[in-house]
Amino acid sequence: MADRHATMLDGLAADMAAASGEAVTLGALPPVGQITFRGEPACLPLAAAAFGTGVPAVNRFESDGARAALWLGPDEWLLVLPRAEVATTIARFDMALAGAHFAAVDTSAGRLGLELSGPMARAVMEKSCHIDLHPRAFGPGQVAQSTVARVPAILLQRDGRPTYWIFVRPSFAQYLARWLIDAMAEYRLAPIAGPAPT
Amino acid sequence: MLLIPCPWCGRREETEFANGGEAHIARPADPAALSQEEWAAYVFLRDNPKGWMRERWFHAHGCRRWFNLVRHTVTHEIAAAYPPGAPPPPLPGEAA
Amino acid sequence: MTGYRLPAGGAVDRTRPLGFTFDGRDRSGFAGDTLASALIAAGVRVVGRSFKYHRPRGIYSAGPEEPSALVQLGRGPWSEPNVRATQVDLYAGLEASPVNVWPSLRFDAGAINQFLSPLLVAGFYYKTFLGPRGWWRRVYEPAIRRMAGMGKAPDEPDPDLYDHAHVHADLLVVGAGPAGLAAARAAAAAGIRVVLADDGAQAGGDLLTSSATIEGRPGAAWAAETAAALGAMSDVTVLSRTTVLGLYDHGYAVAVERRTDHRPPGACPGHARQRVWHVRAARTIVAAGSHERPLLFAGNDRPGVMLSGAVRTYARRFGVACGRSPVFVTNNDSAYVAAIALADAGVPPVALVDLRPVPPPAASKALADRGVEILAGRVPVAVHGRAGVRGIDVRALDGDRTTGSLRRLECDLVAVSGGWNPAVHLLGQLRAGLTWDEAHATFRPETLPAGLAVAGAAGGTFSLAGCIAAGHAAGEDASAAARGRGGRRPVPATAPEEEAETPLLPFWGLSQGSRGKAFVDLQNDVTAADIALAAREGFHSVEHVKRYTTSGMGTDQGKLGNVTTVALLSRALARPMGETGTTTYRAPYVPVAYGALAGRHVGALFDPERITPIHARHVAAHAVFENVGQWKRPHYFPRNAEDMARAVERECRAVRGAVGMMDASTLGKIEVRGPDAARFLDRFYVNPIASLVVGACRYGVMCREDGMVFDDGVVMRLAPDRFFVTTTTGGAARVLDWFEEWHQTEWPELKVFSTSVTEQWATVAVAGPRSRDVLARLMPEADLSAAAFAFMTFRDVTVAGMPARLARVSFSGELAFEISVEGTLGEAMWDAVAEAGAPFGITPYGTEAMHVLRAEKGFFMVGHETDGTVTPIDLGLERMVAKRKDFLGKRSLSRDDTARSDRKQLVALLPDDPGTLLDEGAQLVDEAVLRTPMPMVGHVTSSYRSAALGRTFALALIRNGRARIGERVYAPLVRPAAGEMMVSAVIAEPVLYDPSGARRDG
Repeated sequence: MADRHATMLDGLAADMAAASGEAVTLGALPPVGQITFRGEPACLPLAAAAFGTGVPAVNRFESDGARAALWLGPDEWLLVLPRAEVATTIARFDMALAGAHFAAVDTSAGRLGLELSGPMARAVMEKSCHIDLHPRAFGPGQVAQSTVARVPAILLQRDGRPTYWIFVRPSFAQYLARWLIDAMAEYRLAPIAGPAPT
Repeated sequence: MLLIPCPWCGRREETEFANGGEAHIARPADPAALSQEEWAAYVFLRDNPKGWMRERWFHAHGCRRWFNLVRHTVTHEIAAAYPPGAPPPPLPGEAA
Repeated sequence: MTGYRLPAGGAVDRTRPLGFTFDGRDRSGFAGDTLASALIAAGVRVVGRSFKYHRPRGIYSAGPEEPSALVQLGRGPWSEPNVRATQVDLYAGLEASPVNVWPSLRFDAGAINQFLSPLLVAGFYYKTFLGPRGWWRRVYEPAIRRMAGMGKAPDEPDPDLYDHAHVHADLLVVGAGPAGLAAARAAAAAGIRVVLADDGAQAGGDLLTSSATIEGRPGAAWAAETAAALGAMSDVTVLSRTTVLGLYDHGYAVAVERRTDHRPPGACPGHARQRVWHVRAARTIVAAGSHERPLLFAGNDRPGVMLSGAVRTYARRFGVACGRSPVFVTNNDSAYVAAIALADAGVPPVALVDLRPVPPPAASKALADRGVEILAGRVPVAVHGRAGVRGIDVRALDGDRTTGSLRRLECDLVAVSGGWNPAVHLLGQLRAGLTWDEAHATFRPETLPAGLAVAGAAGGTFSLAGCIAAGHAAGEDASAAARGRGGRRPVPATAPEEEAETPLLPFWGLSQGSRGKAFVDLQNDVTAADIALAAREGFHSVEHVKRYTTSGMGTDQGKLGNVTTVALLSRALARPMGETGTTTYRAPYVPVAYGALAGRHVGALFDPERITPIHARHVAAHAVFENVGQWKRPHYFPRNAEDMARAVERECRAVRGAVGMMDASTLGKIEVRGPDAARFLDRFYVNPIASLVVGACRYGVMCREDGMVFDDGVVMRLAPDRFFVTTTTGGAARVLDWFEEWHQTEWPELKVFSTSVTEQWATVAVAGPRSRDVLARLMPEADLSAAAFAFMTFRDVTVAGMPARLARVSFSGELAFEISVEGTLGEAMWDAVAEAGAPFGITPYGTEAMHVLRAEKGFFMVGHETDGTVTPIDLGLERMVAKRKDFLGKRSLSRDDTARSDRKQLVALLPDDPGTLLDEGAQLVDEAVLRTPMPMVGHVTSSYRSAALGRTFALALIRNGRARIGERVYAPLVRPAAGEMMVSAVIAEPVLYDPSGARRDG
């Protein structure tokens, strides 16, 4: 039934591709499985082991390639994994954490991911978000929850290019994509020439 | 605009937070046993000091945790941030 | 000398002439000019008329403090009012015209006001236009607005782009003059992150006009080289043409960068014209310089009276002489520097009038060597020339009186200096403490909040070496604070210009011996006499005097006149300046375009919009959308040329008669899990939740602690320790936050976790007597009979091949189902339901039909029937309210006020005329004839036309309403055609349709 699934960004793929250039690219992440995991502190190491990553540190994410655990709060992670593995992963938590107080809720349709990447990606983000993204303050492996263009979002940095992933509620995804397309536009143009004509 | 030290996420812009008013007002254990005046005091009456105040904040667009701040309501200086349930720290200038 | 352009000098590019127009006439300037310098060079003396008296005014300054040279810039959609000509970089084709002139600059009808001026004293608004009744609105105000109006707002959409950006730093330096550059350089050397923002196109500030050298380089060159070196550093952001508008708490600053304003309109497509910078810096150094203060004397506003520092700036930076025969008038040494500069540029001053009895020896010798007469101990008493200075009269000064004989000086320029005011505005915004500095006769910052420093003239340091040293030290402090080290570089050595030799003589105008208006605030036409009058009339607070006289209002916010106002008020009240104090400093420091503040949040990006996974289908069906919070929800689905009323009526008939379908995806959804989940929810809902069995649904209502209804929705029990809670569309975040608040702060011992699943699920509501038939086609194997699948139960099933949660809940009173699927399947489910329902004429319906249907059933809607003052009892829900458990707000329901019998209660209203629709929000009264005052007994909360009832109806909250069923109330109604009338309506039980509930099982 996978072909019956549709996301709110399907219709914007061409617009995002057209807006992308050498300075910065924008695209939708392929749909992924997502689990909102909340658990009492004592069960977190076991949960991470069951999930297959390390325990994410504050404001960071742990990834083993196909899976990532994002720190959202002292008792809350967003787990990102292949869609097909959501049910078995939740079942694994039920086994591994039996007796512990936790909640692992399938929220695979609860957020959509956007990828913003390129030398000017940080500049685009700085138009949209007040988090300090300077390399001294934010780098690969870090995650933050904040707002991007007034839209509540989870932001993480994948690499030093830099590449950012932005997870948002699907209802906001088109607005955010259109905002980012607009914010990127100037980096496809020649810069405003030189200083004042003197 | 304040820069608020969330005890979990670190310093973030005020726009990520919601203010929850005066801190350390416990819900009465048995509301039915309270007089009308006692209940009204719990529901409606709050301090509004010019100076240091312990107040609640919610990191609404961040980690979604509640916490308390000791903030000066005139200078906006923030002297402490601590989780709910922790004992209230003394106000600056107050004996511990 | 061609016109007023000097034969040499200045930083303009004389090989690049630029044509522009002012007041419809072609003019020419050079690249590097401002509009002001080009106008002066072109010999334009009168650039506008004053606000109240319509006196001719000329360019007065060379900076952001300019009070007079306000122009309307550009045309059509690019037209911008009240732009200060001193802040406009010239470009080819620039078009500007004066503001506040009617009908023309040369003949201004409003100049009659000069003769009416006895009527226009301080507070004239409050004194003059008192009657006859009604004249203010019809006569006085329109006339005053036409006369006093400044520029005109463009009436077309702004074609320019604007943008915002955030930048974080260890240090923000405001101002790239000598102090700011020294500060930024010292700080950046330690490797910290620095933002340097400067108002000007080039860094340097006063160095751009100074003859001093720094580190052996001419000041302007040193500034340019230093700024370039800073700009090349990866952790330094140098923002030119950027004005810091406001400083806020904890190192937050807002600045606006003018990126393309120095280019013709539309010349930089795709680029933001202006960018608002949001700076968050650990420390801030304000090196914003100072503003020269005018001198108070009669006629000090005439075109040709200018600030002496501005005269020097125009000469040295733009190669423009502001006059051919200048006279300088001063009470301090700085005008000597300007006078020497002008003499050296080939425009020897006629004289320098120094109010002080003993002029500074070295400076006056330098001037005398250039053949300039120095008239010490004199003061101007009159200025000749209406549209341009032709001469001044001076007399000997004795305290605040004059003595001796009059001497006339023929001149076309009066360059004045009354001292310098530190630009403390940004510091003042952050509540810095100011103190009266007797030596400089001005306010300077004394106490600064943590993280804020001041350097240079803004701090009251006026010598170049002092500014550099102060800036350097402040920069080192900042780097030491950020990095724990500093002191890596020596303080740049300066070769100073003339240092002040003789103290300033404070001067606040003559007490007598002079006739004519001496202006304190040129822009608002406030005179020294106005301040004195205000004081005599009892206005003692400087804040009151500002508002009464309008001194310090307008685009310049008193950058020139505020200190003088304080001084005059203090003198009138015989109290010290420091006691009078200043008015409150507020952002923005200079006017800012609304477009810049809006940034890219305009048009389609105005505010985030939320759409459901089914949105594209609604667009394809030509839905008209309504905003519900940030959500776009289909309001109704018009077919062909249907209007809203017809479309809604058709949609309602479909649901009541056959079947309709609605996108209910926006409802908030929360999964509550944990062994204590039932106990937890029981504390929120007024009705019992713990008794709910797995597989069942229950409608619930929540209150705040004050007992007022907060939200409502359906709770499903998925498992003993798992609940699925739905909320209103607007309440989703509010309820989740409410759960978290109580769990985290009050009941952390409860083992429960709440997770938002609003967007995990898309929901299609299928409602109407044929809804079971539609479902049967989608899941033929299932038994959907009322016996097998009871009202208020749910089950996890497969619908049209998709895993779904199917619930029998109804918000219309009809047999109804809600099908919830994973969000990404929403569209597929919508299509499947539409297809399965086609044989039954399934009709998509919007929120308006939903409202009509629920109101017919008397179902209240949070936000319509409730407004934070309505209890569950008021809504008639007393039987829902649990007796045997506590819940949030329960104790409040027995407060005297909430237990009153005469509270407003929910009822229905049936207008006597079944075709009349009451206005939602209309107040209700008990009498048919309007009189004032009369008691209001309630208000209309919802009002609709009902196809099922064949008439209009409303829901209302009416005092003691439930005991008044059958009685009549009246509502005023205003209709454009019919005017105001009173409509009568009968109070009825709230459930008007199917009161027995027979239809819910189909």
